[in-house]
Amino acid sequence: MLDALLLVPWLASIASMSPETRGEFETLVAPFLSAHCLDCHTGPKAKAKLDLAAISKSPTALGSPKLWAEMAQRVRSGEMPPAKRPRPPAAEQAAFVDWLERAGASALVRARDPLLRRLTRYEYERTVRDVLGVEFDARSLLPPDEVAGSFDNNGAAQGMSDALLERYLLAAEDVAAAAFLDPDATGPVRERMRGAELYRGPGGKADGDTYVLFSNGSTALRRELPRPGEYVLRARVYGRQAGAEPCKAALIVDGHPLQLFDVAATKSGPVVIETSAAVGGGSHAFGIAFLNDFFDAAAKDPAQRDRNLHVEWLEVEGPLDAPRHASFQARFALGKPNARRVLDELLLRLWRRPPSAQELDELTLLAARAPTVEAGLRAACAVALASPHFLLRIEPDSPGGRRRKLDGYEIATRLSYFLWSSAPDDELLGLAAKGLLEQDGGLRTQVPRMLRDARASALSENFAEQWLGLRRLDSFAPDPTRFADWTKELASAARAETLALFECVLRENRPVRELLLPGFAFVNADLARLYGWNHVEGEMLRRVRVEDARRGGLLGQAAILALTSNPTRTSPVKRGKFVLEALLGAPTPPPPPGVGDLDEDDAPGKARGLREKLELHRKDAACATCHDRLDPPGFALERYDAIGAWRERENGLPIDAAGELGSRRFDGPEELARLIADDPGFVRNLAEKLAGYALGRALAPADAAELRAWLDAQGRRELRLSDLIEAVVSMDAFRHRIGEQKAP
Amino acid sequence: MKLLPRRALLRSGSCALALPLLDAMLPGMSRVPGHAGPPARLLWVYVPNGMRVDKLAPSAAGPLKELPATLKPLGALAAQATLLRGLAQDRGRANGDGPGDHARACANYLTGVQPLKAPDGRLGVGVSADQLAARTLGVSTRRASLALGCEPTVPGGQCDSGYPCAYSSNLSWISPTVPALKEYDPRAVFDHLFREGRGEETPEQRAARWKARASVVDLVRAQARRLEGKLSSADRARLDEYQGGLASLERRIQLALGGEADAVPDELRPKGIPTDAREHVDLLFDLLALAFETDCTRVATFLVGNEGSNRSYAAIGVPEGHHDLSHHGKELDKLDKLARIDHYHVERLTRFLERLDRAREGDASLLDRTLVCFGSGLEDGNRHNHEDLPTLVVGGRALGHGGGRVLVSERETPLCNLHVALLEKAGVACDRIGDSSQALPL
Repeated sequence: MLDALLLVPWLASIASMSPETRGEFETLVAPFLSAHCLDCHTGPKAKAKLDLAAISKSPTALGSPKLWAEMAQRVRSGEMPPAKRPRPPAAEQAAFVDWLERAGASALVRARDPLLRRLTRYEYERTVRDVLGVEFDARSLLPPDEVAGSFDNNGAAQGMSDALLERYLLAAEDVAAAAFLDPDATGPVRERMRGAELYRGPGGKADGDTYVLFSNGSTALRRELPRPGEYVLRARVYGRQAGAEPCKAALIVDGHPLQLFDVAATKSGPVVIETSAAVGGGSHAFGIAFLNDFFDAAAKDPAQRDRNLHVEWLEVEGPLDAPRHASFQARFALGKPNARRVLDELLLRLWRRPPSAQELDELTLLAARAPTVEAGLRAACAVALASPHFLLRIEPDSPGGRRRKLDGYEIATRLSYFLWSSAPDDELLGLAAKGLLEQDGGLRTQVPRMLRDARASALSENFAEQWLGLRRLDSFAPDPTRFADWTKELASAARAETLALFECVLRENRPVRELLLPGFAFVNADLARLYGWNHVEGEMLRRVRVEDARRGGLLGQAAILALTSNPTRTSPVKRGKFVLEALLGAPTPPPPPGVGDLDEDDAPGKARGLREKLELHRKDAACATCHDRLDPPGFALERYDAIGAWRERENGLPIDAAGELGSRRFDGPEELARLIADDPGFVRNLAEKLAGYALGRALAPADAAELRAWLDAQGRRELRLSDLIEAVVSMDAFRHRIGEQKAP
Repeated sequence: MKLLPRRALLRSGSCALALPLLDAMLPGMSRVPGHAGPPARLLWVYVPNGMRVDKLAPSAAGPLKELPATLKPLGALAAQATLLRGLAQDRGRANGDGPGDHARACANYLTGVQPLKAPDGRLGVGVSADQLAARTLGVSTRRASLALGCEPTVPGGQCDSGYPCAYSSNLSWISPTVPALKEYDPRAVFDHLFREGRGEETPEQRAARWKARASVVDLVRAQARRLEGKLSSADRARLDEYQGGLASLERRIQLALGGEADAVPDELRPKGIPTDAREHVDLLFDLLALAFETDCTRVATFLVGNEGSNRSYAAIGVPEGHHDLSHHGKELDKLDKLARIDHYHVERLTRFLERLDRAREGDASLLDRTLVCFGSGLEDGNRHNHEDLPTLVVGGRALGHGGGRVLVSERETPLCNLHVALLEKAGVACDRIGDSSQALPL
């Protein structure tokens, strides 16, 4: 595994190490290595293939600062030296770790900035909403983004393929159509299609003048709407009735049912059913679905054998409400828009920089070829949205890849995609134009404003959701025979609870430790019932006071507890891994080759409790190194079952929820939460996660060292998310572009 | 030679499907030396978590007389099938990278390259065999290739011991860092193949959309070109991907391939993702057959489940998760259930093969011009081993594949030797794929 770490393209330069640092190597590091490391890590049979013998003689023998960082992390966490070896004195250990981290940082080490980053699906949706005022469901067209590390905005995994580009074109066409409406197309339209003309999907066919749905299915007509608005969908229908109930039908838009109807009418007296809905602009499919097909070949009465739904016609009418322009178009609603001027403004916002004269000329020319100004703007807007300048976040390298300061527009873009997952607004663009964002003050004053803005919810919806792994909740399917309480609704309330806590800590500027110990919880009736409370009603989440630390914080939330469980039972190993990796940033190596996954079901002997089974496994020294660290936090959380309900016993046996985190003892989840909240590793990890998310790449040791220096300078001050965000935006790496360089 | 528009024929027939391809319909570039007439097709079908090789294949080389239990569903088609023994994926093994055999098995299967396990989650494998084939076989079809699967990519950073989820979720790799977009919703597959990405649109609406595209592509291509000089070589790679996508669109605009497949009627458009797993597999196989029949694409991959998938097979009385079961610990009950899962997969495959076998194309069946490789990148899910991989090749009689036999290769013969052989039979010259050493004498 360490081999893989060496592959990371850091540019290391040992020569840049200061004389003091080298001096300390002799007095401090070499003695520590020989006392605590070399027994196992020497020669061809060195453990983990890590031979430190040469290194202990000279620091320059150690090639990769990344390796130093890894060693520092393992010694700091107490994983090394292993438990069976004598403990180094705490002061020596701290000095050793400190040296490794300082030396690692001073020996450069900056990562180059990532490959061109592409807008993620979430960023795409937010950007067109904020810039153009178009509500666009990106999930209907764009595929999910691949993830590298923890986040999908990491440039390392953002490939572009033929198929993806085609989706971007489709999306551009849809968004542009909704963004610029014809001024005269705002009046109502009415389009009726006879049954025989309707779209023929599976389960139906034309039957005379009608369209008959002979099995469960739907038919539809597609219409390009002049604008978003309120539309009526109407159909004249009757049923061929059979069986115990009348025909059931639904009027649908784009496959989503709007309203259900019982259609008892027969051929002799068709009925009109109708409903209305707010529909976005662009092209939509309006349809009708037949929901309760019935066929009984054995029925005595031949007329009672088959139930079908006949559609005589289907009609769309609207929009019925007053015209509303998408917000960008509304800026120019008065007077006759000048296409060039509109495009200048449009490109500035979509491309996050002023367009060149040539770029503007080309699109103006394209727009001029259309029959109306609006049609021209639609065509040009589609080009702007399909352009590499929109889809990719372009930051050119300086010649030779030298580190360079970002310009104002580039900083505005980094800032807005970090805090809002969206494009810079007019204020940011204005400051960028004046050159005020390159200065420290200009940038700092923007952060508080941006965090107060509604758009900052992206930090919970996008950052926190990925940090905590909540996207996997959709695929968590606990065994329904054991966990009947777990429903789709409960899952979505559980997800909402976790995000609500993050949002609250952000908006109310609370200390980040309150993510673990808030003293309140966000619950609705379902969640409250799961948590054993009976005084909360309704579907909406509400904030309730919590007296103890069992609930409210991340470790007492159903979403987190379910995500770290197996379908049939809890998994202390997965929960321990979550605590160490997601909360404390202490990655646990996967099991070494030749050792399978720890199969908790398949324990030797006749152990009865889960904990007892795991303890037996840990008798194996090969497993113990990691699992001694990994399992205990999971034991504390054994007080919660696989979907987060409280329990005192497992299989009739009392639960032993005591253990150690590092060298600190705890008993039960409340004490564990307190230990984590007090652990400097928690804040540090959160800062590093935010930085990785902001930069769109894995952090280099130099980045981590810069963050740590900032954190150290804060003393014992209680830190808030806004503090951590400020630390991230003041990072050297956030304000500079480091290009591709040849190693010296 | 005047090229006949295929669309005209599709429209004129009362039955829109399974039309014979006439020579005049084939643009010259699709003809490959030694393969006059209708084109060759290639398909790889992948099953996760290994198979019961003991129930799948006799160990001795020679004619395939008695069908092993798992292959019983093949019936008469066995005469067109070759069972392969002894193929291995050396780059699927740890080779110092630690655990993660599921991720490696899948990422390596068609690339023959050891996938990169990097701490920052970067992707890195190789270009897959199907994509290499598509560069030749896909130049004149509506879609150069098609990637299908029954499950979406798992959202998250890691799926198997430090490997990104992309590895165990994708067979087909356009480049070492970009997997082909895998479709799993049958309706989206249909729209992608036959409706330019959007169903429920009239042919006129589609034609107008397609026409407007030409100017969009022209302009953004000019923008991308001007960017070239400003970017470093690493950043250029991403821009190249973007330009590659544009080039493929332009190709289709020039060949006037857009909006052409209206002849595949709406009746065949699926409603969405069936809740029943069997229906889902069958529907995707049906669309694949339709794509081959209408010559919409000639190269495809089908990942029946993500590697390491823990889906249950309740429909055949196996409620346990597939991955959990595959760690069978030699328990008879689990082994029996695994055999049932394998049998079920072969049944679904056979249903598809029979359809290709019935479809006539000139003097042969569609199956005669299609090479189907069915297998897994793990032998035994319990041991996570990558040698003697369960592998079956069916079809391609007109391409020189005989069948009806067991072909035992020397131990440790690279699986990629088979891929090279499949490409060669399909008329695609190919020196090497990943760790291949030569073409397997298939």
